[in-house]
Amino acid sequence: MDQNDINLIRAARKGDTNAFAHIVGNYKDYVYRTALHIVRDCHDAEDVTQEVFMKAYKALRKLKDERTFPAWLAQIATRTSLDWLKSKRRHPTTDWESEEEIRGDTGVMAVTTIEVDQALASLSEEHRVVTLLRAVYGFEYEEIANILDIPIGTVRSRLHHARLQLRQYLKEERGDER
Amino acid sequence: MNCHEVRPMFTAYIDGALSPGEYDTVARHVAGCPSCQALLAELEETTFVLVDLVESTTAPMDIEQRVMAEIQALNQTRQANRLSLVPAIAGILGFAIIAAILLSPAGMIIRVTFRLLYRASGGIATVPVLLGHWWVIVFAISALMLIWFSVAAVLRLLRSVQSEVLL
Repeated sequence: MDQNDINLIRAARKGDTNAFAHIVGNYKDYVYRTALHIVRDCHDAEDVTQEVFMKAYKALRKLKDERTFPAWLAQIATRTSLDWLKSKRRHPTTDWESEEEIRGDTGVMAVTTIEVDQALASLSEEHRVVTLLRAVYGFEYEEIANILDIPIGTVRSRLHHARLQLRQYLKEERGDER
Repeated sequence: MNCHEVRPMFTAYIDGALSPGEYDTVARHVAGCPSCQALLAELEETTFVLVDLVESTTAPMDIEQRVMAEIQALNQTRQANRLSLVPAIAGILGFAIIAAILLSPAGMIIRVTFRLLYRASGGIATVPVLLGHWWVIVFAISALMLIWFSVAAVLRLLRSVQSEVLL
């Protein structure tokens, strides 16, 4: 996070909507990545992303320290995505999406990327969330612990188990192919 | 430390999340353990492809416009809500000002005048009841007399002005 982002957040807090538009532009990929890999549907991820930024806009005045904005936004993104999943489970509308529907038509993925995507989907929610917070935002373990309100030892343990499972999944996939 | 004790620290080792002491312990063990070297290399590759996957995901181009359109709609709704409060606030303020005037010393005169007017209007309202059907005739005669007095006064005024001009 650079000084420009801090200035944009300060301006947005004073009601400058153009500044908030720049913030959306700078952080949309982070929020969308989090949403997509949790809700596993590109259309739902778009709606979640929109909802996350609306929540952030409404609550921006409550943010005490501008430097904590990425962690604060990640927290909103994670919680909104998980709530969306819970709501969808309570009111299922369609079957679980195919790989193409998950990805949308934004581009062609490499075989390895598809494998990792599937491997990521195979993780439990709690393991997937810590993995994403580390991979998407590059948060330190302590920051992830604060965002999820869990002990740092749990973050460490979940990240390690998730990485081991991903490795195992990829190993099995490649073993079948080779 | 043996493999069983060191391996749970591998992910934190790759992520740079170990203390310097833990880091040295893992590095020393891995240097002399081929199976741990292999596992560490696999976990490093997994981490690399994971980050690669995440970074290859980008938000749709129109998401920014969608968010800003919703924000604009929200701001318009907020503004409309604020404007709808104006008449209510004006009413409350007006009531407060009238109450303050009436409760002030000057309000005493207003209250007395209001009571007098109220009583007078009550008295006038009882006239038709007292007179029965005759109130229409009394009203018509009073109106005619008022008109006659007015016309006479105007004529007299005109005459006096005319005589002043002649002098």
